[in-house]
Amino acid sequence: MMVVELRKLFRRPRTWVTIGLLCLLPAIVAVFLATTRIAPAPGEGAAFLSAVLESGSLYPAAALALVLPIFLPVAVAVVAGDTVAGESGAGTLRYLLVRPVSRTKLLLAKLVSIVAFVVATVAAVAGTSYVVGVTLFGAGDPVAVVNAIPQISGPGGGGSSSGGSGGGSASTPSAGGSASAADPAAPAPAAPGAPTAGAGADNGAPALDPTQARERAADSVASLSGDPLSPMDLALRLLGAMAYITVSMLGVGAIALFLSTVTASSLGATLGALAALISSQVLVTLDAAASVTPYLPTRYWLAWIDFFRDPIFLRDIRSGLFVQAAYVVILMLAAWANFTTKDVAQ
Amino acid sequence: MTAILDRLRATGDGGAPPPIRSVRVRRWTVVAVVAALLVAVPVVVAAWPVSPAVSVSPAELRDRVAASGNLPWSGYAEASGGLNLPDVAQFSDVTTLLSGTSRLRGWYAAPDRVRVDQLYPAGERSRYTTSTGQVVWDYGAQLLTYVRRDPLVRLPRPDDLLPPQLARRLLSGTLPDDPVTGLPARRVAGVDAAGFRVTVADPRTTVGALDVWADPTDGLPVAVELHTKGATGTLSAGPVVVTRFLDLDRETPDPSLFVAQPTPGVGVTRSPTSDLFGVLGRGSPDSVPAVVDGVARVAPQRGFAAIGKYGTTLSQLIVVPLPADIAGSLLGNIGDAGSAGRTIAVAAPQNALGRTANASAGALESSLLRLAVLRVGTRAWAIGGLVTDDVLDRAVTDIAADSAGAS
Repeated sequence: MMVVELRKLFRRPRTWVTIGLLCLLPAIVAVFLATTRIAPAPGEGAAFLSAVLESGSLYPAAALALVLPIFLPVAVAVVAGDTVAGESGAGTLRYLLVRPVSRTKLLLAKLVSIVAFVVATVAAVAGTSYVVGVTLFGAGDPVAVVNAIPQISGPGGGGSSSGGSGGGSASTPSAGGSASAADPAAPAPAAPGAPTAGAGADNGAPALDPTQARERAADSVASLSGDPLSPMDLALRLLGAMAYITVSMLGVGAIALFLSTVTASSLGATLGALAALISSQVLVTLDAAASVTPYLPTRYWLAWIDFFRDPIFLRDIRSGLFVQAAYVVILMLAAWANFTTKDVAQ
Repeated sequence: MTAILDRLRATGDGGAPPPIRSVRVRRWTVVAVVAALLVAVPVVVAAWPVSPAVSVSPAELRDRVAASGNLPWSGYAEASGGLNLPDVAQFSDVTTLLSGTSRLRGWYAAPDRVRVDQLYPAGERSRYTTSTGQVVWDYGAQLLTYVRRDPLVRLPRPDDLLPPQLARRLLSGTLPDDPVTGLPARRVAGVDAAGFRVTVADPRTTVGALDVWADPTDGLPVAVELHTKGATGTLSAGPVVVTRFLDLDRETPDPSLFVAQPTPGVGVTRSPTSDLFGVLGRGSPDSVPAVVDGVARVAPQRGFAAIGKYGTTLSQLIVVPLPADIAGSLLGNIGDAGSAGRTIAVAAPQNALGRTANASAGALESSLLRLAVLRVGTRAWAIGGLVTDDVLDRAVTDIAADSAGAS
């Protein structure tokens, strides 16, 4: 049953058109950024958009921030709202139910197809935006970054390559040194062992031109807390963020799926789910509604950004998972109670 | 799972299926019960009786809180200020801090090993305190700043609003004679905390009472609420500043958390101070009077001789000299602040040559914090504190009079 539903979902051209459109928006934004080199100020605009000019490897995070508030939930609501109501509207639901499969299984298969759609969409947006980001903005080279750290923050370094921090560059070596001296027990960022480790990792690295190394080091990625993120660390955090965003969309999917069992109009189910989301978004920003805010489906949507703090801030992520799980459980049970006892005429 | 759900279709007499209506009712009942259980979980957890591990008297708990400076912790706290201060450009960090909610992550191993991150939706500002100075990371500016030293008398910062810091700082400004009473225990971040209230008797300050909840075993503060008082001494209906932990871990934090690691490519700079008072206070010690409103000046801190501190309790006044142009801009902002701004009548003093200098003064009002700006000729001062209007007005008058004698 699940295979049938998945095949049905991914054989529909509109599924791929939807995913394509979701991938298109970040690509358009990337083209404008790469062409004009005008990024929003850090902390303004979509999350991480300010940092992508320095490293394209962070662009998947920026792309997810672009599609998360509106486009992704709309797409999920459209697909989920169509699951049962679409069959009903097209007159195929009664033929579907003639098959020797329980309605409960059918409902679960519909839920699995929604999850598959969300996973595919998030992966497609992240994947295409990574390719677009690295192509247009370049990516940091981890070995070059490690090798360049002593040249930037250690004694004898030529200062930061960042033109904007020219005033502070001369003091950087001693500043880095004083930070290390302040805490001898803690691992120092510019540890003398770093170049050795870097040289051991890549035989070609020692021959790297210092200026070139500094330029490539400027492409490295800082977490929101300022610490450098290694490519592996960044990849793991991106995967965590993608998984969290996928879970965040399940609440929307469950609302739309439940409404889809109530009405024969897929448009009505979709709009109902969107109305619920908009109401939630309005209440989240309202201080007077603080007592119900923690239980709203969109309250913790932005917690995926907390994957990029150091250490990762798990509090809101944990709460978000609980809230989404509660919505999925309640609404799927409601969908089950309604759909399995419904008189299907179409 | 589906089999379990399908089994809820109970069989009726003789194995015949029951009417669909009763199945429907039964299944919707399951939905209602599950929903009620899920909604009830947080309600039950919140209503679970609080029983502090040990019983301590309010006075003893106050002493433990005051001596809790070496207790390690890490956690997440939210601090809300309800002062509704207007946004004044030069003090926007302070007005924002005291007029909204701050989300703070903190790690504390010792007084000289502290890290506090102020979280924004898509950014962060972190402050590392080490034995040799401080390091400030600003994601918005993409800048790491190594700060040599801030004055002891400085503008409020986000890290001041963490419950342990705020409780100890405010308690140090109360008097031993101020009455201490017990408050009902609360569960804060998993800690069954005992509470006490210190009622501030000093009529010169706007602070009416300080409510603190702390771990009764060692006195670590976990929640603080600050009440103001009116002209008649009656306490405000609700607190004007509230801070409490939402997550708390009592283990000593990992040492690596206290080291700022600059990412290659971000700006790095050094600064002698990160505080506005640290810049303004580097002038002559004669920039401020020896006595204000009958209170003698406390010996200034070395390196910040121009900062005047009058008193050591919550009613202390702070006076710093201001450049005339900044004072003019501030007075303009105060004039535009509506009901939060107030003009103070100040007599224009005569200098030694018998000439009368131009003098103007204004104050930014809130129920807790008051800040006045005084300009006399080409000299100017900022005067602030948790003090009443009377105290502030007398301070302004004294400083204006003193400026005539000094010039």
